[in-house]
Amino acid sequence: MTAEPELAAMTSGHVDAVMAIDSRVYARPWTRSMWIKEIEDVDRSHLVALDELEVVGHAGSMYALDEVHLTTVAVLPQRQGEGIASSLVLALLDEAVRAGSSSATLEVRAADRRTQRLYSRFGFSPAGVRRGYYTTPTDDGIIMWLDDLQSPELARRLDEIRSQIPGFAGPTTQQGILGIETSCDETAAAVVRGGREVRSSVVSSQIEIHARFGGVVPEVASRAHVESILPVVGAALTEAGVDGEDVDAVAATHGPGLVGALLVGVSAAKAMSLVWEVPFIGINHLEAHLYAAFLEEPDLEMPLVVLLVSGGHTMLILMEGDLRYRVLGSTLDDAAGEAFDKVARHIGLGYPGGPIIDKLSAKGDRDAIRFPRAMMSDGWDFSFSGVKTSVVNHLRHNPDTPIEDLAASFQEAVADVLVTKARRAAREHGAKGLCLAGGVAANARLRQCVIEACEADGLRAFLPSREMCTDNAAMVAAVAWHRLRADGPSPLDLGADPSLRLPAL
Amino acid sequence: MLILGIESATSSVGCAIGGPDGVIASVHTTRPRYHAESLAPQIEFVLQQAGIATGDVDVVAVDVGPGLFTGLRVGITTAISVAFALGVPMVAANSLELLASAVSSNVNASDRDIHAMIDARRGEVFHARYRREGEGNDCRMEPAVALPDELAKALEADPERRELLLVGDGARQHLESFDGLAGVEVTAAQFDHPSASALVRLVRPAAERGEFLDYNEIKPLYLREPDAKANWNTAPKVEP
Repeated sequence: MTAEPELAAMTSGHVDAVMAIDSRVYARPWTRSMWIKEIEDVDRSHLVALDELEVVGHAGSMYALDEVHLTTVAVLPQRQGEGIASSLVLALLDEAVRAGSSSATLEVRAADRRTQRLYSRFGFSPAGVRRGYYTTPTDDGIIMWLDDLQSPELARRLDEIRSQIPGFAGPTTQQGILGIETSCDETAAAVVRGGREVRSSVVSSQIEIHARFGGVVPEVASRAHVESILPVVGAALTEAGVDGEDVDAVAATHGPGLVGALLVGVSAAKAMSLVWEVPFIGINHLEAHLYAAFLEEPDLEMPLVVLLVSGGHTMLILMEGDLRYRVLGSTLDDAAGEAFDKVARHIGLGYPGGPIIDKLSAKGDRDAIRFPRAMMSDGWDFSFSGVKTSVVNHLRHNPDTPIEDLAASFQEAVADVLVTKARRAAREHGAKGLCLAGGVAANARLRQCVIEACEADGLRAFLPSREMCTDNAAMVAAVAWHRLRADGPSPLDLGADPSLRLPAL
Repeated sequence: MLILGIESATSSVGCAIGGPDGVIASVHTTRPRYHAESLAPQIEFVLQQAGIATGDVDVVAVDVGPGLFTGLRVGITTAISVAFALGVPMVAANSLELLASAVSSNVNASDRDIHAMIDARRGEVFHARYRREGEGNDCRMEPAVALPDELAKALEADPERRELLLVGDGARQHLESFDGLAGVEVTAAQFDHPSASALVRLVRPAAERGEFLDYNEIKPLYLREPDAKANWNTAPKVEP
């Protein structure tokens, strides 16, 4: 690739140059009046590849029902082999995916193996022959089809091709999806391209506001979200270097979480999607946490066991493929993070409890007290209210226990149960790795236990960075990319659902 | 100048688009706890019915409250986000002056004051008093929150007060508190909720004078502190 062609929608000003290219590569080029009609037809899409404003190639498609027909692809002979044709086909297919088409088709000369190989890379396969379809010289036409345009597999294939074309930049190049997260006490916005590439991620935490109350106060959180939402979105766009109107879509967490808090993000996202005329996508907060690991580990292998542990959830999940998961078990009472907060509050350590206990534990003896491990060997569910009560009772009977030992022993009991079950789940379900997600995944001892377990069992350990464990919007924008391909946009009358469940199999 | 007005302070939510000759299109729905679901489709519909492209909106107007907090935030967040996304300025009005403006342009109130009341839940009302002055209303008692019985006593004891027209769902909700007062009349139920149409009419003079606000200057008028005490034992459950 020597040049970096930019793609643009074809206008009447390009027709002369396009006809000049066609006269060199096609035996029967279209006439000017045919071109003018093509450009004006709403069912047609034509792109030109421009190098310093010079047209070096063009391609077009025709939409019919849920199919897209690639009608023409041509590149200046001296510029062939640079990836320009691939860029053009990629852009037309991206456009078709976004338009909701389900399959693509085209005809190619039987003798033209090189072009057939190009289409094969995109996943087109021969489906039939039209005898004598081409003239001068006479040749058969090979009909090729590409099905499942909306599948995650195709999205991955297109991204792979995209990554091999270094200078690819055109009107259908993705700027990224704007993600918004306001489900609890963080106002966050991010721009992520292709479900992977984080162009910006801004988080405004209210943790200091809520620390005064010993926990998140819903009304206080909602008020803070209204104040922060636009500064945070503005910062995310600026950091990404993207104008709002150029984003590919706007996504927001719509549940689970605090309803008043969720509604701020959902309302902002819908308003922006309406003004910028781009899709709106409502995102499940739990699913977003599952995808946080993908942002840092692009080669995650499935099946994968994910331990989703936060202040509100403790779930053991088997991820079988993109957007395909089973919930194996969850907590029957307190969430893991909730147990940390309650124990910290009881010992008088303040809020949030997780990081404080984590820090204290480093200086304590984790084997000092043997706290109970509930439901260690039966089923996949968890229970943490017992260990919490044990800590309270132990302190009552042994008021002189060093606080560091108490913290370390409690933390050990929680980490032990979580990792023992996750490990067993990985073994029984043939998982290739173990992944942590959610705020509690930032806990140092839990991370260490996962690493040790994976080493012992020959599994891969996926531990997202601290920023990706806690609530953020990059994970929202990442999962939105997958959801947009799988389900299309959400309706504008989508509300918030505080008890939204993970869309499991 | 095209003004898009958004109003969501009470159990009602609506939007309207106004031009130089008045309201071009408007939608209002009263479906409790459905503001977030209704509003974005309403805006799309109103613009489409008015034949106006989103990009042609010049100003976004919003009712900043007082009102029911969650619904209020849906309207305010939507309004500031539309203004942000379009890059246009804003104008604001409060829900009580909106109620008063709708009454004074429809009912002969020249010799009476208008006392606007919005249901604040928990047995309280948000309220304010207005007097007709020329083309507009002059605020004679600033927005505040009160118990209806105590407000009634204060009105009875007020030697300065004229005869009163009470307006708003707060007055209707607490009729029994104000029934016995001399010289007090409650307006028809059609005026119970502030409306987006009244909003675009009310703010037009200010918008034409160029008295704009930036989206970051728009602040909800809550008039009540959040229910939160720094108490370790009653701290609510932390959501993920």
